[in-house]
Amino acid sequence: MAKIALAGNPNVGKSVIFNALTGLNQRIANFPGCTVEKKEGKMHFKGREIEVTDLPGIYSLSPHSIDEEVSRKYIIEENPDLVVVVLDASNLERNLYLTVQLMELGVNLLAVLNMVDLARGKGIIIDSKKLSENLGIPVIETIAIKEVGITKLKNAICENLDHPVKPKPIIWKGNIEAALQVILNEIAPYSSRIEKRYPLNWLAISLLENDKYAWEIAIDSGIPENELKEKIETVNRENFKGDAVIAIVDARYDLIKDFIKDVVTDFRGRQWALSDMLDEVLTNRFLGIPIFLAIMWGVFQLTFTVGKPLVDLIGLGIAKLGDLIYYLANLLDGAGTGVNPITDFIVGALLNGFGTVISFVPYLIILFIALAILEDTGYLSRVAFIMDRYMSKVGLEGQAIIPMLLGFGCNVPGIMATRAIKNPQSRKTAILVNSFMSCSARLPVFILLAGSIFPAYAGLVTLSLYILGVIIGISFAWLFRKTLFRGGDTYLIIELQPYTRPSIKGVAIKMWNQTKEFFKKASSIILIAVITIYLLDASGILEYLGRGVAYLFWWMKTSDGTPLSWEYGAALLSGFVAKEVIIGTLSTLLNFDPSAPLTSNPLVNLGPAAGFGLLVFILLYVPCVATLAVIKKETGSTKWMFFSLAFTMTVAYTFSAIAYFLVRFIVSI
Amino acid sequence: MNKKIKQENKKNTEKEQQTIPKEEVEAHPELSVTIIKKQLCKKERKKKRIITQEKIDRLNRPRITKTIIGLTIILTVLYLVGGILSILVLFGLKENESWSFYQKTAIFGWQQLKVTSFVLIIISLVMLWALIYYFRKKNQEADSFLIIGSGIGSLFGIIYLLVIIADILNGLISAAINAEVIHIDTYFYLPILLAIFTTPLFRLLTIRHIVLLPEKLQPALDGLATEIEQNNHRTMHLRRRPLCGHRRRKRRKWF
Repeated sequence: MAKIALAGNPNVGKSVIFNALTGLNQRIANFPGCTVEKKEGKMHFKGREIEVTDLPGIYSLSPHSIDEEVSRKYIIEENPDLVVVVLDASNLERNLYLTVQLMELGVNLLAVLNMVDLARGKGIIIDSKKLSENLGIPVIETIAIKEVGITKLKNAICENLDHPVKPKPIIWKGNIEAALQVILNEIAPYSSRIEKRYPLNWLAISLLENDKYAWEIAIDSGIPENELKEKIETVNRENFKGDAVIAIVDARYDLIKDFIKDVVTDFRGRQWALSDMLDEVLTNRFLGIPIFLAIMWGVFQLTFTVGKPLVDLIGLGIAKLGDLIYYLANLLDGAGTGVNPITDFIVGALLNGFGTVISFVPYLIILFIALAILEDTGYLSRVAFIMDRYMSKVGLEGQAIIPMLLGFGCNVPGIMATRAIKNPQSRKTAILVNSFMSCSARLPVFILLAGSIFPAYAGLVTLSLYILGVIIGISFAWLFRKTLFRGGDTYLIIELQPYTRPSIKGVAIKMWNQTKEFFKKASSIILIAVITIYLLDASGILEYLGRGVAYLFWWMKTSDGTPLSWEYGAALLSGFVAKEVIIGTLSTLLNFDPSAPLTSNPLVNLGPAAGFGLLVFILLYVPCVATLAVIKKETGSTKWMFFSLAFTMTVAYTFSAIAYFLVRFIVSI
Repeated sequence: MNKKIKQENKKNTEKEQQTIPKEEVEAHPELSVTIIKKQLCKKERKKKRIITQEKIDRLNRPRITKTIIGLTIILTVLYLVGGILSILVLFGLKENESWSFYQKTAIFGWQQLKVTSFVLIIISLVMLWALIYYFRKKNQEADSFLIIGSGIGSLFGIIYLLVIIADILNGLISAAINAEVIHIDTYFYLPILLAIFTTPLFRLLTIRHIVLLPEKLQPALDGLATEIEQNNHRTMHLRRRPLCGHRRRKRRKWF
C-alpha cells in the first residue's frame, strides 16, 4: 500500500485536507499546534487504498520541539512514497521555506495551495501554473474547508504515485556551493553507506547548519567526527564569518524569491485588507483584553439565558418521566404509591442524578457553538497573541497559550498540546498550571451553583471564575519559573490567518464532536459514578466519607450559620472521577426536583460566601483522574503527578478559604 | 413535428450527458440529469457584481466620512452615557437622585440591564479611539476601530434580542409548569436600540474596505464559486436521494 504524508506550516489546513482525503474526523482548529501527534488514515480512490499520515505543523526541517521532531523523523526515516506539502496561499513566501527544504531532501513532492479564497479576499492572486513550472512539481489549488479541489488533489496524488515527480535539484551558488563541495569531498568515501537513505547534498547542507540529527547520521556512517567538524568550522569561519546558518537561510529565501517571481500579484496597494484592519484593533495592547472580556461575557450571557428554557424543558420531561415510573409501578403493585427500592433507584439515581447532568446539555451546546464560532473565525489565535505579552512577562513561553486555550475545552488535550513548547522547564510549568483552566466539565457545575445562589449575576460569576483560573494559573507559572523551573528563552511564533466566516457545517461538526464526547462520558463514567454514589449512600459509607471531607471545611458556614453538610463533602469527593459527577451526586443526595427552577433547590441555603468558596474550590482542585494520568504520561514521572495532585488541592483549599472570607466580608458591609 | 422536437431534445440530452464527468455518473447515475440542469443554469446565469468599484469609491467620499464621524460622535456619547449610568445603577443609584430616571425607564416592563455597563463602556472607548484617528486624518485606522466598535455593538444587540426570546420562552415554560402568571424579568433595550444604527454602519464600513480584483480575473473566481456551489448541491442531493426517488415514483402513479 502506498504511503503519503501531509506536511506544512502550522495552521495551513493539513488536518482539514486529511479529513477530506480519508473521510475521518480528526480534530481541526483555527490555531496552530492543534495536531501534536501524527495521525494516520486511509484514502480510497479509484479502487486504490493509500495510507495518509497527517504530520504536526513545522516551519522548517530543523526541529526545536517534540511535535516538530515527529514530522521530520517521519519524512526522513519512514520515507513516504509522496510528501504532500500544504501551503497557505496568503503567506506563500514563508510557507515555501519548508518546501525548499523538502526539495533539498529530494522526496517525491506535490504542493497544495490551500486557502486560495482567503488570499483572494485579501487581494492576492497566485498563478499556480507558473508556480508549478518554477518549482518543478505539481501544484493543486484547494479550499479544503469547503472541499473544493479535493477530487483534483486525489487525482493528482494517484497520478504522482504512478509517475513520481522528483523536484528540481537545488542549485547553491557562491560561498555555499564552495563550502558544500568541501564537505562533500570529506563525506565522499562513506557515500555508499549514506546515499541509500539520505541525499548527500542534503546531509552536507545540514552539517553546515550544524544540525544534530545530521551529525548523528554522519557519525553512524563512520565519518571521523572531529576531522569533519574541524573542516566545517574552518569553512564557516573563512566563507561566512561564523554565520553559515544565516547565510543558508538567506540563500533559501533568495531561491524562494526566484520561485515566486511573476507568481504573486498583490492588488491591495496601500489599502489594508479587512482582516488587517480587524487585527489593528483586536490585537491592540490596550483594547485587546477588554474586547476579549466583553466577547466572553456575551458568550456566557448567551449560554445562561438562551439555554435556560431548554434546560427547563428537559427538567420538566425528567420530572414527568419520574411521575410516570411511579404511576406504572403503582399499577403493577396494585395498591400503594409505587414506592419501592427499584423505583427509588430508577428515579433517585438515574433520573435525578444522571438526568440532572444530562439536562445541562443545552448550556454546553450553546457554549460549544459560541467557542467554535470564535475559533473558526480565527479570533482565538489573536487571543493567544495578545496574551503573549503577559505570559512572556511571567516567563511562560508564548506557545503555552495554545494549551491553555485548549484547556478550556478539556485539560487532557490541553496538557498534550504542551509538546509544542520547546523549553522543557517551560513545558513542565505549562503542564502543572493547565489544571487551573476551567474545562467544559466544570461549566455545568458552575451553572448549577451560580444559577442557584447568584441568579441575577450567574453569567458574571461564571466569567469571574474563568478569569480567576487564568490569573491563578499565570501567577503560579511565574512562581514556578522563578523557583522550580528556571531558565530558557521565551518567544511566540504564531500563524495569524486572515479572519474567515465560519461555516455552519464546520461549527456544527465541532459542536457535535464535543457534545458526543460529553454523552460518551455521561453514558460511561458519569452513569457508573452516579450509580456507585447512590449505592454507597444507601449503604451509609458515603456519609462517613462525606463527613470527613466536609470536616476539612469546618470554617465554611452556610447562610443560616450551620457548617457544610456531608452531602457537599461527598460531592467534592465524587468530582475526582469527573467534574460533572458533582451535579449527579448533589441532585441524588439533596433530592432535587428536576422540574423546579434552580433558585428553589436546596443549594440556595449555602449562601453567597459558602457558595462562592465552593465554586472556587471546584474550579481549582484537580480536574479529574484522566488529567492526572495524562500528567504522568507527559512528564514521564509519577512524582509530578502526585505533585500536581497535592499542589492543586492546596491551592484550591487556600483560595477557597480566601474567597469565602472575602465574600462574607463584602456581604457583611 | 412532435417527432422532430423529440429527436432534437434527445440529441441535446446526449450532448449534455457527454459533458458530465464520468466519475460522477458512475457513482451517482440518478443525479446526472440534475447535475446537468444545475450546470446549464449556472452557465446561463451571468454573475453580476453587487459591490462595484464605483460603489466602493462612492462610499469612500469625504462627505460619507463626515456623516460617519457625525454618527460616531452620537453613538459614542450614547454608549458612554449608557455605560456610566448603568455603572451608577450597579453601585446603587438612589431613587431620589436626578439620574434615577435611567433606573426607572423601561419599555414594556423591561428595564436596563445593570451588568452591561462595562460592555457599553468598552464599545464607547473603541468608538472614541476611532474618532481620535478620524480627527488626525487617519481614516484607515479610524475605520478599523469603528468596524470593531459597531461590530461588537451589533453583536450585543443580537445577544440581547436572543435573551428576550429566551426570557419569553422561559416565562411560558414556567407558566406551563407552575400555572403562575407570566413574569418576564429582563433588562435589555439600550444595546438593541443602538444596534439598529451600528449594524448598517458596520456593513457600510466593511464595504468601504473591500479589495476588488480586476474584472479580467472574474471568470477564474466565478469558476471557483461554481465549484463550491456544485459541491454544496451534490451533498444536498446525496442526502435527499431516497426522498426524491420516492416522490418521483408517486407522481408516475398519479398520472
